[in-house]
Amino acid sequence: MEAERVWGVWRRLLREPAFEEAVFADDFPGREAELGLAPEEAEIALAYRETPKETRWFITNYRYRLVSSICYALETCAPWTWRLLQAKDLDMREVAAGFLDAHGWIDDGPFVYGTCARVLDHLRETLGDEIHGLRALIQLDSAGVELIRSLAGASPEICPSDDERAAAAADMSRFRYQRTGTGALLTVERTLTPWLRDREAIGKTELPARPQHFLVYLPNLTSAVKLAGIGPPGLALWPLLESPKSLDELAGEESLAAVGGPERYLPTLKRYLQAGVVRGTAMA
Amino acid sequence: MDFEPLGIGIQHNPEISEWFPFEDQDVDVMEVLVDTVMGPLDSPYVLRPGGQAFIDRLSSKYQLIAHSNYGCEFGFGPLEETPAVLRHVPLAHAMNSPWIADHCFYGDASWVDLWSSPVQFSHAEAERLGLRAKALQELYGIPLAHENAAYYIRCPGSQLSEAEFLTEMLAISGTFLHLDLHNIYTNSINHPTYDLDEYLDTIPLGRVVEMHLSGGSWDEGLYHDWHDSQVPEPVWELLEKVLRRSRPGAVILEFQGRAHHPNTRVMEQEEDLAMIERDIERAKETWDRIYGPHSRLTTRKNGSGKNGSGKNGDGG
Repeated sequence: MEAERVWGVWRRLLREPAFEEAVFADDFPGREAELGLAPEEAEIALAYRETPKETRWFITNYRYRLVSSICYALETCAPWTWRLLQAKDLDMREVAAGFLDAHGWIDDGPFVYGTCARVLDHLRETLGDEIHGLRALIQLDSAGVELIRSLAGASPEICPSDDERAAAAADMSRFRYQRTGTGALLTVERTLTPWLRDREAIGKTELPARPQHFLVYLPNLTSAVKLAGIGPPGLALWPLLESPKSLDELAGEESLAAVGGPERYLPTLKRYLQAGVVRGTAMA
Repeated sequence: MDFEPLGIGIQHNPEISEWFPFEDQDVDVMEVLVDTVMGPLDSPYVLRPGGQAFIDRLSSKYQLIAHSNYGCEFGFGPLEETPAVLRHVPLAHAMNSPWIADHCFYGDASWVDLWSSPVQFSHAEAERLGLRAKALQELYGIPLAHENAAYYIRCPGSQLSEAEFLTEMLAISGTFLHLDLHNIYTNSINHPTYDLDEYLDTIPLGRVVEMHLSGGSWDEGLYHDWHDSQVPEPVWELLEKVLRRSRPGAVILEFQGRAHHPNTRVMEQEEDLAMIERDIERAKETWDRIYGPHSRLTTRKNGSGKNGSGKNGDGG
């Protein structure tokens, strides 16, 4: 039996509850075509069928571990969502199993953030209307997850050094400024400050129904995701920095004049520089 | 090949780290699961945030030994895309590990099916996996050892005994063995024709770099390698036999939480702290009795070892 073919059949037994039940059903020999099994694959399935107790132990272990793995992905990569669900006393293993039943008992292994993204999508659809604040926290965590995934494989040089950050903030007329890709702006549907400042309040108090804006960023590529609240100047400044801009060029932007001019947006630009989400490049 | 004898250690397992005082243990080495500190492949992290601080703290007290669970190197995808290459290689170096062990399971951009998927003991797989192991060891630049699996069923298509397979694979790879004594004990209980003496007579004992000791539990008529109990007497007997016939670098004890099945006994401080510490002491006593009182890293007369107190050994 070719090992890779054995692996393919075994994978189906682990991942597809319906396939597992079919292989161990009384009428299995004879359903191979229906189950999409080539002759050698049917032979492999029969080999596993001959040891039902032991095979099912392996499958049970796989599914137990996969539920744990989903919980791990959520706890590690979506901490705010995790805290809210825990505050609501949800059985997290049940929640995880519900996701796997709906989307397949598939393990993405080392692609933990991708797993988390899929779980968050599922939670938004299934529990988003039932739990106050859940949609907003999922928005927050999803932004962090997407930022992390976008930076997979990025070179550490994408983040300005401390010296670069300091220089670009010290003599700003000499530089042009542009986003580095290590941050993202996010608007969530509710004001999250009461929960972000007091974790004991998560799930226990009402969140104001006012949008709130955040910068989600990595100050360097070894750091966890950071959050910073952003006001109107930051919101206006951010899209303009997709391409390099000098201070003179920014001063000509109507959207920045509308939020109060340089007095309002320059401090935010310096915060962006300090966070490393904007880099200054010296003009010739 | 002889390895520098380090002595006795314990595997740092986060599942029991809330109550077990790993960093207070008087052991020669600490085995670290690289997967617990590695960054996911869909992230920019080689080490997860906080991982470097963890390694720095442990390495200030102990010689670390890297242990790879989810390298996925024995799968069917390109080796260069596996977590083993992308993460475990740099992490083993970051830990200054003298060697690293992986596992004889299949994995392909997946993790949790690993423990349920022992490799096929066939001539074709001995060659294929031997070549992959050889290439991976070259990337590591340190000895790569393969931990034998505990399994309820052999992979269909197997032609060889487990011991024959490992021997044949190593002849191609030039790699080494991480001999898990509880795994072969578990297999000898669950598989009627699995003979422990024959196993030890077949594998190249001179290539055993490290050994694992642990305990398990019975459930529904099968014995399970759950690491939830004290090391059973037959495993201590195996340890004595192998120590007398080989010269490994370290013997590591393993204890963990409910990782694989809901029926696993959950270990607790009140009941199990003393048991674990007794097993550590017995492992040290066994090693010292066979190799001499100054044969471990923390007991050598030149005082070259660190120990759990954070101080260098004073030569015993």
